[in-house]
Amino acid sequence: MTTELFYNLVKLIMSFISTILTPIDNIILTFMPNVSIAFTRVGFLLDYISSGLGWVISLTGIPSETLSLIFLFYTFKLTAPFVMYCFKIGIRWYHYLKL
Amino acid sequence: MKKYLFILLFSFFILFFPKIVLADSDSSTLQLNIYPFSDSGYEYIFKWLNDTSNDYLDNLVSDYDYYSIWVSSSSSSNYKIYNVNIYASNVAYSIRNTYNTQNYSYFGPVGTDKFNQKYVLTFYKQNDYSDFYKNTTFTSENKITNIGLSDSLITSQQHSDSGVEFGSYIYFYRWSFASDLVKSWSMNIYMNNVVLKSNTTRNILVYNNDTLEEVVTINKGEIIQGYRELVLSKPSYLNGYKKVTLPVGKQYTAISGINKGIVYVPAESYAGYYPFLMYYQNGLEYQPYTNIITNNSLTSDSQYVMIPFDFSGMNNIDLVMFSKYDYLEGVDNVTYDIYVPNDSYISEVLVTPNNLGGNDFSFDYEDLNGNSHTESFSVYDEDFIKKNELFNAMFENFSKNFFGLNSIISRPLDLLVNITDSSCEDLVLVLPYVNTSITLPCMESIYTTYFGNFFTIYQFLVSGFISYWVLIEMVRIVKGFKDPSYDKIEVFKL
Repeated sequence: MTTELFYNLVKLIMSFISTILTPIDNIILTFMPNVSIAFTRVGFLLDYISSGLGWVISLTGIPSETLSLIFLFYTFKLTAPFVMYCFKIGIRWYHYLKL
Repeated sequence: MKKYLFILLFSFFILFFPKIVLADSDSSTLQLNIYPFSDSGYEYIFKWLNDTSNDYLDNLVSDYDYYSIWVSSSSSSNYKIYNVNIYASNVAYSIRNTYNTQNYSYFGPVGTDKFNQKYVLTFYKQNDYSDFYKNTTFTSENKITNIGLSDSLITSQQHSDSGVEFGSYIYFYRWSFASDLVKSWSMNIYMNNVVLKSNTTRNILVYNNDTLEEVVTINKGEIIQGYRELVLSKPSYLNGYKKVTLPVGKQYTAISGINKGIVYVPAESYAGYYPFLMYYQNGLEYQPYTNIITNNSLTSDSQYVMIPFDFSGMNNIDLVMFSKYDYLEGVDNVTYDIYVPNDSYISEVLVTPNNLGGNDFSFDYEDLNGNSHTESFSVYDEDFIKKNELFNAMFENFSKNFFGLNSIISRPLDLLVNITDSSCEDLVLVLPYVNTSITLPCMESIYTTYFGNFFTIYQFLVSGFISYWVLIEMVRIVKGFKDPSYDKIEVFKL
């Protein structure tokens, strides 16, 4: 559940980013297509670099269980405070309304 | 410093990645992004096939319509396929990719669970039949669907032969339009902002049923837009038809002699609920067809839900059940349309199970030999399933483009989402101008071979330090919860 929450939070952020940037991207694509192509190529470059991530991890020799532990930790780190924050907000609202 | 680094990377990219095909999409189109590495001798062929008569395909997809997109080059090539996104309605897909189209070598089915609406993408090497790309699974849903393959799942493929036409097929296996209820079905291929940067004019050939429909010519620097719509007819193999009407309530129908086919479920009766499909193996218990249960979410604009099923390969299938629950208000009967192969033997018996409490049921029935049985079974916690579906549905309608600024900013987040799927693959570095490549093998096997126990000790120590660090950080975070003023939400920094 927390992993799902984490995934979807990231997806939501990505969707917001896309919503904001898509009109700008379309304007650039229409009026400055070469610039748009250049941006896209940078994106592909990043993707190309990231395609070697698995190999780099294998180069470090870190076992997959440890990697899973790291990922789970970051999942916790990025989701648990958010849940706690929401919980605290709820309590604050409760106290405020109670007054 | 950062500026110079950016310029360096940008120059590298401009030099070594000379051509690009970009594609954009809207909510009802198919998107295929193809990215070639080399600068010589390419043409892109989008070839759509609808032919189930070929032997070499019958072994794999004899019961399917299939549609393919063929990406080929007329000379030796290195190319890369990004982000196969499929937008279509009421379809179930499988995707397969191979190359060496000259002799139509097809190297096995996509995956083993293509009937379960989780589809496995497997790419195969030409010679040794080993996986070319890593497998991935994705889900098809009965609505406008975007099946996005993560960028990180796709790696480059290459070969050094020349004089042979090479290409990649991506197949979309689709279950059936045997229903008169569905008059037609369409799939759009949408190519937007296709830009060719080489000096040579290239063609995009659009095929349907092996008939060349149109040649779209692209000149250097030209940006084209366009889409093709395919209207498809039902496949001939599913002409068997049966209509089953069930009263609302815990009613089940048991149909023997069918091991594959499609169930059409009227969506308006089922919005938010889940039709059940179960099977029985002679001498064994009834078992729910799990993936169908959990993966059929309906939308208000859906007319029908198609539930393909296939129990081929299971011995002694005695009974197939279709069932539903009694959550429908104001609906007395629900009619299922079941389409099966022509030679299927169908017999039907309506059974009413006894509710044993909770999610447990039992019912009595007679098998094909006239013997009486009592079977009990459990169904899934529907509330949980519904909540899960609703939770996921919140995020399904979001989309993003794959070009421009967005392609840069969203990459790290994409990587973050996909990092758990990352596993080591041989890293192939293509050297420009000399038309050769360097393959860097995964290091773990090398470490194990040459360092043996020392490598194990190293892993032990590294895991220990990391675990210790994780523990310390976890304690720090939990302690922070006790501080009323602690409101650090790191996910917002993403």
